[in-house]
Amino acid sequence: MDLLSGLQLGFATALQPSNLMFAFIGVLVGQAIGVIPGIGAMTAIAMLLPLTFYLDPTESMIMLAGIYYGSQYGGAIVSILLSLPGTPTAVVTCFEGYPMARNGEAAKALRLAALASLFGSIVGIVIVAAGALPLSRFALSFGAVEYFALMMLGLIASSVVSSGAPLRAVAMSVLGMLLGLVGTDINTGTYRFVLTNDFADGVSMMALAMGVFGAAEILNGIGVSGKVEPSAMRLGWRAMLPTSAEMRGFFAPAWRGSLIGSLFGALPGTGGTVSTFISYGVEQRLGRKSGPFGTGRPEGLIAPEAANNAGSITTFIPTMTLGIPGDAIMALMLGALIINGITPGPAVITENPSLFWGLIASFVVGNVMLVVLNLPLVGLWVKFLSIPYWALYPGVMVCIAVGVYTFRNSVMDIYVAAVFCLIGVLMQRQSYPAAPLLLGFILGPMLEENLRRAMLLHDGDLTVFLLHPISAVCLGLTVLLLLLPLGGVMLSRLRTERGQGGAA
Amino acid sequence: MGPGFLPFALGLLLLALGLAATLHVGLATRVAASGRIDWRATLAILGSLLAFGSTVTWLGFDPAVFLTAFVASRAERQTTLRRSLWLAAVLTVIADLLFLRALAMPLQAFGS
Repeated sequence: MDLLSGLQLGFATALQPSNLMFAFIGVLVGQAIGVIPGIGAMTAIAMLLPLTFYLDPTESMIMLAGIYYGSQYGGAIVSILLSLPGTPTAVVTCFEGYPMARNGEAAKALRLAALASLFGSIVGIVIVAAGALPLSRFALSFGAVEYFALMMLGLIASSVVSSGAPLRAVAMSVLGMLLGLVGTDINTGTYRFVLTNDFADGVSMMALAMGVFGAAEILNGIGVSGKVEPSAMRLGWRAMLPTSAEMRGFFAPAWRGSLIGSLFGALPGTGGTVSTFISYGVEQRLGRKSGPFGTGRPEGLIAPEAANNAGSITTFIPTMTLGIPGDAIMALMLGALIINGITPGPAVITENPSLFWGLIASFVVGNVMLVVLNLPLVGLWVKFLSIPYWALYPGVMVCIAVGVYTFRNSVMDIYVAAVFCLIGVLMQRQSYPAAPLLLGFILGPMLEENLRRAMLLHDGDLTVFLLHPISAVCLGLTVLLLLLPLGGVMLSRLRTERGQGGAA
Repeated sequence: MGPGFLPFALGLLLLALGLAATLHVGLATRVAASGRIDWRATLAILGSLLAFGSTVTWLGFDPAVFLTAFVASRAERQTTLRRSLWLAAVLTVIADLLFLRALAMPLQAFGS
């Protein structure tokens, strides 16, 4: 199937009434959850995961994806008006967006953010549509050896690149892998780490995700509050029409941000958060002559917004074509696919073309809906912001409890979620990142399966990983990534020693 | 390669990583512990999960939701007891309509 007939099939699928409805539900929930500070897309996706049992895989993926990219739009609103990032990718949006709102340019900041999000998404969609097919054809030749190496690279890259503490991040991904191995071994039927029969099928993905992310996120929101600028409370649709003057300065940073975001999104293991910081850094470097940043510079808002939306679309490339999630949220989506009986990987495009192309077309549909939600209807979301947190989070807690319980119909899973919630709180206090834990949990069993298959095929000869070129490159990059922070530490130590020597 | 190989290898690796983190060798970027733990909020959130788990199969879905929402709402210091009870009651009605009626989840509203 070529690109054109794929897109044709995709739009035919995405425009079916039921799929349109689920795309709308997805972006609406995503937008709402993005606007609520402290509750991210992760929680929203996990909350709605049990619902997908009642839907077909295409509807499920369209809805869950809608939540994911919808939350990027919503997150920008809180960041601009309250300087409270609703999602990790929205942290950078606060840097220039909030000063703009304080300078009385709230409407301008909101419309630029929405337009940049749309622009980034379009670039991302074009890249996914054009790139996924050739990549999946290429990936069809991959064997267990290549997959093992790619997964190692993805796991280590996400640990090292996206967090400030590589050692802790790697430790968390190893712990996640161990948790993922709990249950019945698929090759031999042996029970591993099974304490009671509740764990025969392993630790519940829902309990882990909801405990470590959901409940911990809710706890972070308690006691935090902000006040919306009164001028922003009366935003009508007229205020959201962009002026031609601001559009002139829009396209250059939007392009830069979109390309940076697309690149980082498409690499396995590096999600959108990194790309927002990098594109902000690029804008800072390019624009430093015309004054200081942090004072409400539009380009510092446009580029990161474009980057995180482009990245949140292109991250579907490794997830859908290789079956390797780009970040923790994609890991959860991958889990949703597996639950729905679809094995992610290069075969998805040929075996489930309507799922794959329908999903891509739904990105277009969903983003159009989001622009309508964000430009003419922005006043609605500003009002939504004034709903106090105390009235919202108990309802989210109920959804979490119901979701964890109904996921496997197990009461034990609720207690497991409680334990993970406590672990999540302690991890946060000691600055152990939670995302690698979930990524390791999802990738661990896949990694083991490929390792054992590779060893079975090659008579236990470990050198195959170095003899296959793709695998050798991936493992080489992995080692490099692990050595990079080590080298950085040594270099900075050498510098301080030299500095002290010079001073003495 | 048997079923115990990877668990054993990962266990050893985790042991080494744990030791390295404890010893604060150069690899670990030292990060200060971020903030104090709000024990009231933590206990309320944990308690709400435990309340749901311990009652859902015994008292039924609606009482379990009521207790979950009530216990969770106690996390916020400013919330009065009266407000918590109201909030829990409203959420119970919404949850009953959404999960039991609209989505027709196979759960008992009351009793086991």
